[in-house]
Amino acid sequence: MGFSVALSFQNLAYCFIGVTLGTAIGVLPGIGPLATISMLLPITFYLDPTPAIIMLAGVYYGSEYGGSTASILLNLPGGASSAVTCLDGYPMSKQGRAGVALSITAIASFIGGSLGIVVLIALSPAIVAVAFAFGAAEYFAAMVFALIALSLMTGGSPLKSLAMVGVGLLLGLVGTDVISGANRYMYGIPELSDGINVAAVTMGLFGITEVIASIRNADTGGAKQKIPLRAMIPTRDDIKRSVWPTLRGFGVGSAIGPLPGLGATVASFMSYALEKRVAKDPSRFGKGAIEGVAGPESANNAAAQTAFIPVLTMGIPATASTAVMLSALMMQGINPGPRLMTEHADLFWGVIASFWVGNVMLLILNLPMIGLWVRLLSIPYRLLYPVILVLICVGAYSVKFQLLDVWLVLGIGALGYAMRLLDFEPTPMLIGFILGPMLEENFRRAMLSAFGDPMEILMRPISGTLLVLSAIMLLLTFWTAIKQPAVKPPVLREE
Amino acid sequence: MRIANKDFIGGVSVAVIGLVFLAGAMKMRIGDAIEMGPGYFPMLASGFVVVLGIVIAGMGLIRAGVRMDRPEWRPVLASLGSILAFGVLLEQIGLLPAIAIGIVVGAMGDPDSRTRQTWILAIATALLGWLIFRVALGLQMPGFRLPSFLE
Repeated sequence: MGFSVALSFQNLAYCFIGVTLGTAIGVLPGIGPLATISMLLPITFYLDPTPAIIMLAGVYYGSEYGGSTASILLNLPGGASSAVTCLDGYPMSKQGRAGVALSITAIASFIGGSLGIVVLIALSPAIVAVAFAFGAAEYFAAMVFALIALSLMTGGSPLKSLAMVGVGLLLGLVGTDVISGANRYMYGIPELSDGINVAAVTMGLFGITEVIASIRNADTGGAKQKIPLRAMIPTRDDIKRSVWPTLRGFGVGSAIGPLPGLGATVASFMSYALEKRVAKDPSRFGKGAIEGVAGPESANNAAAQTAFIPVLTMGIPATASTAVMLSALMMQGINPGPRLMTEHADLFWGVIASFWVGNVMLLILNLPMIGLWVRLLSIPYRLLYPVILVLICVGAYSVKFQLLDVWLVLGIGALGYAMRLLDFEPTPMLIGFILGPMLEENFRRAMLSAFGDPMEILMRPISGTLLVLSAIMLLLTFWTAIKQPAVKPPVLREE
Repeated sequence: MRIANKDFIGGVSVAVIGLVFLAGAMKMRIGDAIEMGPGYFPMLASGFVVVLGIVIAGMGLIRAGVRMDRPEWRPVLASLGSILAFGVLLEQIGLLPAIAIGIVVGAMGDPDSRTRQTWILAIATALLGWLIFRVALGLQMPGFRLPSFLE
């Protein structure tokens, strides 16, 4: 059923546009998947829900793939999840084996992604069945759990990440309170009544911040290699070496993908560590071992797909990219949650089928189009970033044709850069911002039906367990923060 | 003890953001736990943020924290200036000049930018942008417009 939706001409076309644009922008160094998605987010507001989400998903995995291309050819990862690919992909490139590295990347990504989709299809109905039993109290507890787990695992200081979740929640409050109709934090600006625009927040936090940080550091123009198609054919030995890493990468990726805060980046790092550990000769790693490319690439694509499980089944995103897609769905008037699978079955299965179609497109497209990406990589960054800045502005303005959104991009971009200087992670803030309104609504409904007694919520088995687990994690966070050695060893991060 | 460390500055900033929102929440109807007013959840959330900010700042004081990196002013100011220029010009004199000037300002962020190249880039992008957004997609943006004081 899903394929009839995914294979309609219109959806195929949007999937193709998404994958191509995503790869093209993702290839550029300093612009990761999130910045890419946020730049292209406004376009999808003009589409119907199904093509919109199909195109965004295409952008997402296209940019993941494009990031690996930059890693292999330039040693400059397009995004964090392809950073690991630099370790062995770039040495392969220096040995003249860039073509093989690229084709193994494409194949491993395809296998990891496809198997990840199988996991997504297999697990979703079971989780939906559980989620149907969820009331407001359970949703509230599940969101609290996800937000706290996210801050613990997202990297960096957990306390600071938790603070960012809080700031995100606060930004999410701006606008009209849906329950009472009261205006909150609008300071007399009527355009704010629908809340702060998600596109402006993501573009500011990820797009602008990444551009500023890359101006001095991303030096493109190094890729002068020509890669003929024949150089891309892997040898029998390459294939033999890649089979198991690809499958192990899929295992790692699909286990990690659905967990809050981990996602593709952690999956790729863990897969690399695993490959190095099981290898007969670990010293080959870092010098162009094909296993170090196949494993992580399979892992990050499997994780990218399975990260959709909590979003599509419960409406709770685990990673920043899926959070943006969740908000795109909501802006289309669709409330993700267990009902999505029954009430919007064509959308649900159509989107999943299109994930796979997109993976096929990536595989077929990218092998012949590599030359184009290489040429794109040879454009110096100083000619690229001013265009990116202006595109972000046009994109922000075009959502509702109001200048306010341009000013929001400006303010949030400045905030994002300050956060970067001070070592605060942007991802928890974005997820807090997107989940905030849902968290509040479920909290209020749960407390209403519990007659204002929090114990009532704690006594329900599912919500109680989740909240107790959250409390334990919270205590652990504070405890480890206090227990850290009083004087840190001489600073590592003071570049 | 170093005041200018990442944790102290960051913690204080977070606490200030929390306080601003807390002050806002106090002006709304709070209600009670059964039937919460619009201010109830904001009050809890901003209280949580204030506490976290204080804890982070406190930790920064107790420990010899990591010194803050100096901002790279040139890229920062040029990038933000580019957005500012675009925003100011768009509704005043139209999409084409806003794109072009946005790019020229943005390009100042990299000392290696060359004037002639930058202007070619600016004009080319403005024309392309006008074709894509205005002509092809038909977005409601004036391509060119006389500034209001000249009309």
